[in-house]
Amino acid sequence: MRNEIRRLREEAGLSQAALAEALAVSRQTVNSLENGRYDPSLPLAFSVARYFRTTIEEIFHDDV
Amino acid sequence: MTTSEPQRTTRQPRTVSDRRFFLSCAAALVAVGLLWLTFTLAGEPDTAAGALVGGALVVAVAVVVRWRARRRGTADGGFGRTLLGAADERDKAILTASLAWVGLAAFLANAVGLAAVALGADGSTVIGAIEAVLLVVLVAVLLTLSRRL
Repeated sequence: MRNEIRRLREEAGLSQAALAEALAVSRQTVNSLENGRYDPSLPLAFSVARYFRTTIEEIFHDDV
Repeated sequence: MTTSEPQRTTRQPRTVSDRRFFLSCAAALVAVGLLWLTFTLAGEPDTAAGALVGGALVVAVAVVVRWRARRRGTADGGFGRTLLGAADERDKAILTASLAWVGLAAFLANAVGLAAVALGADGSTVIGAIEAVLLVVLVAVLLTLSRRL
């Protein structure tokens, strides 16, 4: 699943570690999310969307 | 689409308290002590010594990982975070998938072990070998999934 996390994070001037701390996950998890290797759970997806004050649909995109 | 300023309200990572960690270590040491006592009373001093050293080593590793995590502010890897009770959902997904592979490997290893015993292999040696194989599978799958996921 593609996502906009890296772009949103960079636009916000955050490091992966800072975003990870804000979302209460590890830096490796943020890295995996950004690279599309790991699809988050629904609660984490909502947390990401809430953090960036947007919606899940604006962040995560189906590959198909 | 988005606002410029991210929302700063955040969740705190969940970690095991000092008290819980100390109690867990104490319980583990008591269990290791009971195991040592059981083997000693059963007249198996070598096995008793092995259980004592192995058990104490595991507890020591847990203490070292926690100490390092405390010093650095966070655990380095998923294994450390899992050990400290600070695993996030990806760490848990990796652990769950790894244990599933270990379960599958256990079926195969047990089948091979049964065949080996039927062909005359020593039972305790086979059981020990199966344990070792499962441990290797766990570590290998943990490392592989940590890189892929």
